[in-house]
Amino acid sequence: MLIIKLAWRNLWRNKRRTIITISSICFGLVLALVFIGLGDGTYGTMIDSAARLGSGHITLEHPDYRSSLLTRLTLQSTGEVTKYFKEINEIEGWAPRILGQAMLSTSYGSVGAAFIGVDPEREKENTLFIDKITEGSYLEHAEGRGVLIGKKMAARLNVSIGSKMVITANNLHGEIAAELLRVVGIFETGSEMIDGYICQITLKRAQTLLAMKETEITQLAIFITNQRATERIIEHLKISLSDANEVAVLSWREVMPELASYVELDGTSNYIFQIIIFIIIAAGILNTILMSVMERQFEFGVLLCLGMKPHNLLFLILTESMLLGLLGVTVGTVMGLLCNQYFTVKGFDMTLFTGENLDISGIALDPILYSDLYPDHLVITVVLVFLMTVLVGIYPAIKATRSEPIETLKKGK
Amino acid sequence: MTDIVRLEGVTKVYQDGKVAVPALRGIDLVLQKGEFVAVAGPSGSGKTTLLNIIGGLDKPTQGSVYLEEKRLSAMTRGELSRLRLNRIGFIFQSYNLIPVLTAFENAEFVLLLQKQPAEERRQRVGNLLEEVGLSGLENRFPRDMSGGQQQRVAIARSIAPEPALVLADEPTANVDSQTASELLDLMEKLNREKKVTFLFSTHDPAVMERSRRLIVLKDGRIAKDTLK
Ligand SMILES: Nc1ncnc2c1ncn2[C@@H]1O[C@H](COP(=O)(O)OP(=O)(O)OP(=O)(O)O)[C@@H](O)[C@H]1O
Ligand SMILES: [Mg+2]
Repeated sequence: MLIIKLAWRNLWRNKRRTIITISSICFGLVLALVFIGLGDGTYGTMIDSAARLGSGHITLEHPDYRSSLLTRLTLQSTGEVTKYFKEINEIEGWAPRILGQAMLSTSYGSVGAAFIGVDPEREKENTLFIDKITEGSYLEHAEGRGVLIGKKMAARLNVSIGSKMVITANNLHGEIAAELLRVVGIFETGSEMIDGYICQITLKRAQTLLAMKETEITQLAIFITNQRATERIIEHLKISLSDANEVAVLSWREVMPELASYVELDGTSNYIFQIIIFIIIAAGILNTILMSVMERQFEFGVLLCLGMKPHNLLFLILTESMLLGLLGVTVGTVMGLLCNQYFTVKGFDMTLFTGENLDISGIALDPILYSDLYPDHLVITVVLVFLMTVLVGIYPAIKATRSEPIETLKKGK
Repeated sequence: MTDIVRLEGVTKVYQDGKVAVPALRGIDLVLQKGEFVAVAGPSGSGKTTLLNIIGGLDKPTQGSVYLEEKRLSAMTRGELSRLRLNRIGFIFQSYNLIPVLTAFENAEFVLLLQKQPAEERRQRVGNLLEEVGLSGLENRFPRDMSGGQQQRVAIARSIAPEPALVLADEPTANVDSQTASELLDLMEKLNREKKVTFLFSTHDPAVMERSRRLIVLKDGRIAKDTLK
């Protein structure tokens, strides 16, 4: 109690210095929290967009499909599998799909393409493609012959809404099959690959084309409300589906390894940047505490003369840096959260810095970044900054205990 | 009467670079309970060194120091620190008080280190502050008190734990003669009424006058030791 009282009052002896130190801790923490929050938000958005444009946050497919990409490796038990989804609240929707390679031809020419057979009703709730449609509309009739193509492909085939084209592919029997299609919509995602290579047709049309049974699909894309829950839901599904054979449960990390490693790598470089900020701030705190200790050598001498134990002096200085850290961290956390809140609502306009649109591994990013600080990142950062201030106090504290009481009386003259 | 302090052949040689500086050259001295002793002598004669050695803040080069029959040189750092806490009061020339603590808290400080119960502390310090004439100034911080008032707090602090001995190195050097005389009145009163043993050093002839035993140091030796 005595030590805390002494430490607290000592802190306010040099108000200006203390406030400057607290501000620097605060500044560092706010900076770190904003960066981490924006990072978390950006990665979250990227992952979410990629999942909604691609195969969902979680993908169910035949265990061997990914390695061979053979169309005949299908999922048969959709109805059986989807009944487990009801017990998981985070599952927002799911969509059956058929994937394949094909040739699209018009009188103008032919191009290779990847097609996705979809159930329009199910897709509407989850896919981002709908938002990317620039002309026409999304697929409507489950039985229809509609096709949705990218802007680049439309240019290559010289087609527009209403144009006819033929899709040709190898069916499950190894025969060449063809279907007539009509362009109903044109989308633009900003990605060269998606806009120039991918087309969507209805699930029924894809099954007819490939001579598949009505129950057969290539993959089941699952969309969840919060991408952070992916791993947990996968664990859950793996247990529920352990009896069903021939079903692999994959996360977006496995389906989009480039994105996963990008997020990881960029996150690491973010941390390195923050550690550098922390070190600079730590040096400032060390300087402050060391200075205040050096100034008080005489006083420490008096305390030791009076019979205070050296280790009590150590605690005194450590308590001072702890209080300093506590104040800085408290104010910093509040301000950091407020800043994050601001960027969560208003966003952070990257065009101020880049001047143009962002494109990371083929996924066009919204140039306005939205913050979404993960609670565990908040806790780690706050604890780290606090520990740092305490750690920095150790050296000056040890220095203080080295004061010899004898020096006191000498300097007292 | 009981011996409180006994010095036997104490010498102290400081090493100032390559030069050996003898500060004390053989001191034999006995202080008894209830004494009121002044140490005088020209600057550099060894007054501070003597007080430091008696207070266990410095070690003699040769000879032994006993405090209440315990030999200081046989003690560890921790034991010395405990001895200072419980048995010796210190009053310094200046900058005595802890600047962030009030008069009351300063006087209470040593009792807190001793872990005395709150009620006991409150009573003892309250009485002491009244005794040193500081009633009503309990909540003043040192910066808001005069030099004389600060020294009164220091005196209260030094005697609060009821030590065997109070060591004061030039306690009046920083105050005017009027205040010095008042501080001496106070120490005398405490010596008389509470039987506190005082050993103080001084340059001031008026202060020497007031002591009941005067030890004069010269070149690290006792030149004169008179009992009045
Ligand atoms: N740490 C030290 N290193 C070297 N010499 C020292 C040291 N401390 C004291 N001395 C020397 O020891 C001698 C005695 O010093 P001391 O401080 O005891 O004298 P003093 O009587 O208290 O003097 P003053 O009246 O000026 O306070 C002096 O010559 C001084 O220079
Ligand atoms: Mg001296």
